[in-house]
Amino acid sequence: MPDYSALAAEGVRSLPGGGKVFVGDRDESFFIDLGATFDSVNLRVPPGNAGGGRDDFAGFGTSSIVMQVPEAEVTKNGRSVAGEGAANAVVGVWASTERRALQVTDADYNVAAAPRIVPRERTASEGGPPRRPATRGGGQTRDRNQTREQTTMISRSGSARRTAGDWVQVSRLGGPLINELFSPAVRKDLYNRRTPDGDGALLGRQTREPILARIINREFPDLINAPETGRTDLTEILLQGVEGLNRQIPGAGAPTVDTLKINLGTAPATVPNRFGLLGGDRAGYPNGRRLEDDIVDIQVRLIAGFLVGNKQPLGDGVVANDKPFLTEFPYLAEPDSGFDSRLKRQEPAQPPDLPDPAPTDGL
Amino acid sequence: MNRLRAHLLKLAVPALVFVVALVVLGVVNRSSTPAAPPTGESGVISRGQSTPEQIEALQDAVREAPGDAGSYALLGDAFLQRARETADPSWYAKADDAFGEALRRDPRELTAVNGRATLALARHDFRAALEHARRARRLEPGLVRPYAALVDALVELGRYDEAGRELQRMIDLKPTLASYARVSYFRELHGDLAGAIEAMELAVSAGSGTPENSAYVQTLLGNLELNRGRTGPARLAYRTALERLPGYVPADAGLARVDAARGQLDAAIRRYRPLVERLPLPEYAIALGEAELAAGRIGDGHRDLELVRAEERLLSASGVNTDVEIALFEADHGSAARGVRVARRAWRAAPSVRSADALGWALTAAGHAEEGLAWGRRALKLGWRDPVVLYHAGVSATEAGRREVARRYLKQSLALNPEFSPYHAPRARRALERVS
Repeated sequence: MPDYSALAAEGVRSLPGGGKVFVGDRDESFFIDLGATFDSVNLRVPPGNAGGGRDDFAGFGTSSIVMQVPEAEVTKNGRSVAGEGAANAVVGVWASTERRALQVTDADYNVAAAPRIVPRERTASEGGPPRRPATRGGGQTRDRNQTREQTTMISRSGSARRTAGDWVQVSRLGGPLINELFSPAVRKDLYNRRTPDGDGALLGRQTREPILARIINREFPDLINAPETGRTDLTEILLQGVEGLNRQIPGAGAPTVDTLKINLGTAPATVPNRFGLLGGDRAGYPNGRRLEDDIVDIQVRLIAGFLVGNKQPLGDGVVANDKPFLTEFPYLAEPDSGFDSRLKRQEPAQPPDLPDPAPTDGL
Repeated sequence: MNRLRAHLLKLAVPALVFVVALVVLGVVNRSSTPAAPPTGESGVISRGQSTPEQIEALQDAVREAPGDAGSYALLGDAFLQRARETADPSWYAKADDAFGEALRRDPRELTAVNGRATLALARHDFRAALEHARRARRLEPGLVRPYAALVDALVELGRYDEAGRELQRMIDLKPTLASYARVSYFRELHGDLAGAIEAMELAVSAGSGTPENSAYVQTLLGNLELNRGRTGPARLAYRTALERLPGYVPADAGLARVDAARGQLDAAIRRYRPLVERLPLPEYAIALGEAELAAGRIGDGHRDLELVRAEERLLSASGVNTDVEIALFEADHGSAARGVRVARRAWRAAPSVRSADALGWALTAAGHAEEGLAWGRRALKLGWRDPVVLYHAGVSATEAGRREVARRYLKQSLALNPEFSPYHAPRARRALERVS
């Protein structure tokens, strides 16, 4: 049998300045009842806090780009971070995928002279432009789209003349499940094409009046009772950051941007809680995002109103990845061989989580 | 169907927030295939449901919430998807009604406006498709989906400069499988076969979450390879498509064409027959009949070609315009006079190079070769290098006594693919001998 661990180890390369990068196949690290969650959070066994979900990604591998870079390469002053309260402690990360456009033919279709399509809702007032992050295009905040859409632009019959089109951004990702849960379908192209500086206009209302709150209220009458309007709690935690933890500019002036915001001074948790900050674990989502953070459960609970006095023990019934993550680079578990893989997995019944996850959860 | 699901589906339009990215393909069908261009929307409601299940669920949803425009629009899309799966065009009328109901409730319902454009394309009503697509773009200018129907309609209406400009905008907006595939067809029409293959390879490589879309562009790549006589790469492309989507009829038909191009007519016939039974479309019945004629099975050939007229009536009853295909069929195997009438109607409705080719060929078959040649030249004005179209122009020139022109066209046709059709390629060779 070929030794994949050894092969993968050869795929780890050093980067100038002390970072490293891995590109290759790893275990798919998401754990989610995809069929239920993406069917309008059609919880299989409501409220979904006692296991019983189907992990649709179990057994699958995915092409992954993993990067680890020194703090000094991503902080705004180029220095490493002294502590959680340091002025340079919080960074925001987002990633994008680009594909190359083509020139249709050699004919000059004079497209430059055509009227530009200006998205209606773009305003200058909301949100400052984020720094273009150094980890753009990779990092541990990888998105499935990122790795799966890396297209090979080399064509057997290709002529260089035509592939010289511009690279066009076709996908981006900051926080997990933001575009998926909050953008309406007709705006997803726009979201994917734009940069985070327009997110106040693009996502502000979508988070203040989340359509998903209306859906789950109607789907499960009298069970969830999520507030449907005035949800500045969501805008803040998802797009502006948590005051005193991962907000880049303190106070109301924080830009409304879909970036993954992490305070590099926060000490890692000894025992991570899969509910992250909701479970009292400051080192977990939304302060960055660890592989074991249970994003589906967290987002659904946030939407139901966790921060505004409506704590509901919601979840998709899947609580952990099918394989343990590694404690060292590249952190993602090794993929199954095709010979051994068993696809999908039923999460066994669990002791029910509390509406307000105890800080000891996960022990 | 439990109540929960019905409730959920009532909310199906808000539920669209979950669709990560709709892949819109729908390179317009250049054949009589009434199948609506794939839109990738079949997975909108639930990836786990079959289309009949989705239809049932959505019918429950519109009964429970008769005021909801969105559910009607999705029901229309589900009917279109069903038409594509079954090749039964009677689903089109149902789709049309559902979109109508949606738009009566909300004239700005975007899924319904886009759906109408897709439906009009499937029926080959290109002017209507253009109108609906423009309206969809006005409603949501940042969305790439309306461009698909917009570009397809302009191409089929023969408005190539506009089509090129909109297509450039489309791909600059979002390079995806749908835009690469359209660039490929546009280049093909302009005779740039290498460039067409390059773009189609990019479409394949861009991929899609919908297996049918991937299988479709893989099949188109096979067709491009086959049109320039490369049976090996064509076969590989069709096989890859079938691996992605077992039983995918257009790819199976591609393999039959490869068999025929390699002179294995019995194998081709064996492959075509179940396809004709599964999908009652003129293009497969014609391919089967012509393969049988070429194999000397004259009775079988005539019997299978007879199916075409029945299929035409069926399609026409559902509002599908197959004039271009039928004009060519009549010119080859039926009444040339009817072919001319139908082709003139096709040209009036859609003055494209495809219509010009059909009209030219029908005129030549009806004995007006000089006129036929003039239309053949029109068909080739963009530089199109299609072996069948060049063969039509070459035979027209032969009949018109223009030996030199005839030689040039026929040589080009046979040079691209000496076995472009088991029925027509020998005729092309005979015509070339006559003028050499």
